[in-house]
Amino acid sequence: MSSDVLLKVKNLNTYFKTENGLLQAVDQVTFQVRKGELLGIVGESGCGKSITSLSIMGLTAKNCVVEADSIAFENKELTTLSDKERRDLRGGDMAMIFQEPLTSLNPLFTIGYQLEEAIRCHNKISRSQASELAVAILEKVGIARAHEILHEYPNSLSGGMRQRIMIAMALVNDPSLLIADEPTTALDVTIQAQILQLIRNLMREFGTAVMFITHDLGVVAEIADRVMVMYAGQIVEEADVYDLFAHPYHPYTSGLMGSTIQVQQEKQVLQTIPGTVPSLTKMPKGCRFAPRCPYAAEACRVTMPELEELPDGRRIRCLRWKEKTHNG
Amino acid sequence: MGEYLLEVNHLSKYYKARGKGLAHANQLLRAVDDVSFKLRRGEVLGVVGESGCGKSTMGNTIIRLLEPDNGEIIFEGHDLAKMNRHELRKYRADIQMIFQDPFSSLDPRMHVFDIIAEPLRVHHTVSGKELEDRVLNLMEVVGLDASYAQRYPHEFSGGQRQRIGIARALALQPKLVICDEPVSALDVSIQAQILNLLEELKEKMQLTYIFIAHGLPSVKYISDRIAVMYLGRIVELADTKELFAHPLHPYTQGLLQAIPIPDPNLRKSDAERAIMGGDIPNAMKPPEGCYFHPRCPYATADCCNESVGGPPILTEVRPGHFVSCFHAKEFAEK
Amino acid sequence: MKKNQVYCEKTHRVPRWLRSLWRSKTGLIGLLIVLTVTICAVFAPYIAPYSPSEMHPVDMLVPPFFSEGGSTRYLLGTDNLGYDILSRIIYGARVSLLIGVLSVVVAGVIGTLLGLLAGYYGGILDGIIMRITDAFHSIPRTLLALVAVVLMNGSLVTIIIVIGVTGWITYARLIRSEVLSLRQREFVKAAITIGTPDWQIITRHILPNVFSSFVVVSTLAVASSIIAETSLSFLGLGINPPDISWGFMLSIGRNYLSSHWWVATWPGIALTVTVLGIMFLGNWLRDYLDPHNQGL
Repeated sequence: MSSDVLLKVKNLNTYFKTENGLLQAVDQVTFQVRKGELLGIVGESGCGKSITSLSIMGLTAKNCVVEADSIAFENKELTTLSDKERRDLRGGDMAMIFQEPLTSLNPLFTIGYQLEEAIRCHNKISRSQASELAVAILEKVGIARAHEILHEYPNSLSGGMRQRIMIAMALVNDPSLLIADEPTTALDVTIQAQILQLIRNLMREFGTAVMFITHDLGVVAEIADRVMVMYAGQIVEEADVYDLFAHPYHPYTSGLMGSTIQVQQEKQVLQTIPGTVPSLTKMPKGCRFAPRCPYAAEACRVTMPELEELPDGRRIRCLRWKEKTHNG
Repeated sequence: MGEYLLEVNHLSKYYKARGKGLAHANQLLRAVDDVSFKLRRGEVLGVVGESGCGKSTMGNTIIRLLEPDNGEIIFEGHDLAKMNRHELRKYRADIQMIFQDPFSSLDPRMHVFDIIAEPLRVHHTVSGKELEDRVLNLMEVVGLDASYAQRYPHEFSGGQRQRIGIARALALQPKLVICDEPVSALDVSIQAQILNLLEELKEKMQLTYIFIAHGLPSVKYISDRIAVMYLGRIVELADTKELFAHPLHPYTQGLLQAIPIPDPNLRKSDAERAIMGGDIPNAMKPPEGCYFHPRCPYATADCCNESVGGPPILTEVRPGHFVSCFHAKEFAEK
Repeated sequence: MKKNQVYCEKTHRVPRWLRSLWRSKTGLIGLLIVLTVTICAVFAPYIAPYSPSEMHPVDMLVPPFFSEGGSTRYLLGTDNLGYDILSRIIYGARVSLLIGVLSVVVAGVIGTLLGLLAGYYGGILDGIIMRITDAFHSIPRTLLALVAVVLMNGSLVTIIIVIGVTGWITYARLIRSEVLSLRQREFVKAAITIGTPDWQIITRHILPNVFSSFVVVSTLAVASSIIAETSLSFLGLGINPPDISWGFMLSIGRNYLSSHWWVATWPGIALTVTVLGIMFLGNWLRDYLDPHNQGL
């Protein structure tokens, strides 16, 4: 693994256990996150983006089966770690923030208590030292009355504040990787803008790499360095953010972009992708997007395309991408 | 018949606070505070704002799911606010609502057919074969296959359920449809489908919409005019094009700045980006004077002076462009 | 992933509820117990070795067949008047089940109606109904039974009414809270905007959606009614001879606990097992009817 690769995931497969057998939610997902970069993972509901991140963190529910050839973080192989070693990693070098901060924070304990607990889990320091660190990190995430906030309970704070505290808790132990699972989806747009700016600034200051999961193409365009598009449990395209938006190769990617309202444009005809995401129980044979794809040919319905790696670093899973890009 | 389908005048909805002691005894949560606007036939009025701005409450109050505390709701010349439930029933068919949550807006124990047929049955409009034809026709119009008529809501996706909700709302051939965040809970590609469907239906069935959303992009796409709400009041009201070209209220400007643009080439550096600071204030204790002044980059002492005696009133500063700001005229002239 | 674990939609010939029951061992046990008790109640004359009112003065206080001095003629032994305990337990199931079910019907109808009204209309009506529930909550069942026995005779009907009238509170509270949360669901709001009259909203939308809670509470309420009846009969305020009740058997057996343990023990076990069986069944039913499990 080259020195600037922080996280390397190889052939991750995650299944749900049901009474009729195993349902596959994540299919042969392979990708890397480099130091200091922000990888945006974008897709709609049911594409498997959240399950992927939970599988990497080892936080999947009991009815999930996670298999992978390798999940390597800072050269440590995660798949062979014991539960205790996994716990040490979580919140330390590898941290995660979620969509709904109210359910991630315990309503019965003060912010100060929870922050200090997060700190002292990974560092053997005294309570007063932890308290100082807590105040420092709260100020870093832009909370003005840090000392007072330590004594407040999560319920009395706004969504934006709670998300800042989540970020503080995630970053307090200086992780090298932050996994953010739709952290701004539940927030108002003005608060979202503040949080995105905060994440950008913290990345610059701490050098943290971020895996940012979202369904919003606008957010991805704002902050990502590279973008990975997922559909029905598979990666369908991955590219540098500028390249992707300039020339989306995969029909799903271009379909998503066509369906996204471009506020900066005067007039827009909104394109739609007909049909719906296939259910996990009825995955089509061959390319999973073929039933909805305007370019689908007979071959597409029969053969599952492989994820091809192109010389410019892009990855694409499509049998007809060459024709599509030539025809525009 | 006047040129306006709906005229809302000084509509207010308050909630009383339950607090301890005399200090809290008279605290009022002004969920909707002195809202006025006029709606023409065939128009789409977008109402946008963040949490706590009162847009949903306003929609619910206009349709009398909530009782207004003040003001008039004049629909085709008749004031709905003053009617009792019996008189109101006659107008129920004319004003319908599409709800936000596709998962809870349909009765999980009813077939799709019965869900869509309910309005027709309740008003005894049609029955028997005619009813069946009407319902199947509605399903077709919203893009649902007729073979799904005997299925239950949980067998459908979010987008399909929203279509069922739309079919139900259109069953009585209403004149005005209040869309309360109809696409917020849907995936992007499905949002596009539903927005296009709503546009198509508007033309086909000659509908008038009040389109409520917290995201400006969808409101921009479908609306002719947009009202921006903050803490229960309309702070700006203008044609869509005009609002985006010349946003006059600082809150509107902040909102527009905050929208993430799906084009990385249009990324702004932090210096260029004027991100609005602060949080939405507590609705129970709105700031003195103009509600927005604590977050406003242009606020002066006049804005929060007690002598001002309350928030600014919505005034027309450019043709068809209304702003609620003490410095509105100055901004308009720039 | 193992080959045999690949997802495969099976078409089942066995209905879903049966499959679910099979998987839940306690549910299965519960069902078997309830079935056994029901069969005993219905077919008592065909199952019981003796008539419950058949005295055997010669064989008083005979121990169960496996004890010293017992005989296979009286499998569970006899009591102080020579009645066969097994037969009386089988006949006692009739009373328990009858009273359990009918009192639940009484309580259910009253409680559901009041809970519906309180939850749907709220306001003053809700306040009044809630105060009434508080009042009833504070009436001791035993006292009411005593008064009832004095005023009317201690017949089956009296007991059913007494238990029903003191048991409706649970229903009212439960249904009320379900209705309160249903009222806020958007499909109820939609029905209002359509112009559906209140009574139609209640019958068409609200009732079907509280049905599953109702069923689960009813199952558990049967269990608690049976216990209530047993207690009342134990105190002599309930079933009187010639009707047989486990509670009555317990009250007799109390005097012989140290010397002739079987007189009280067998009815006690019958009661415990029955109630446990109903609880198991009720728990399984609750999980099975949970909308989350049905994908609703």
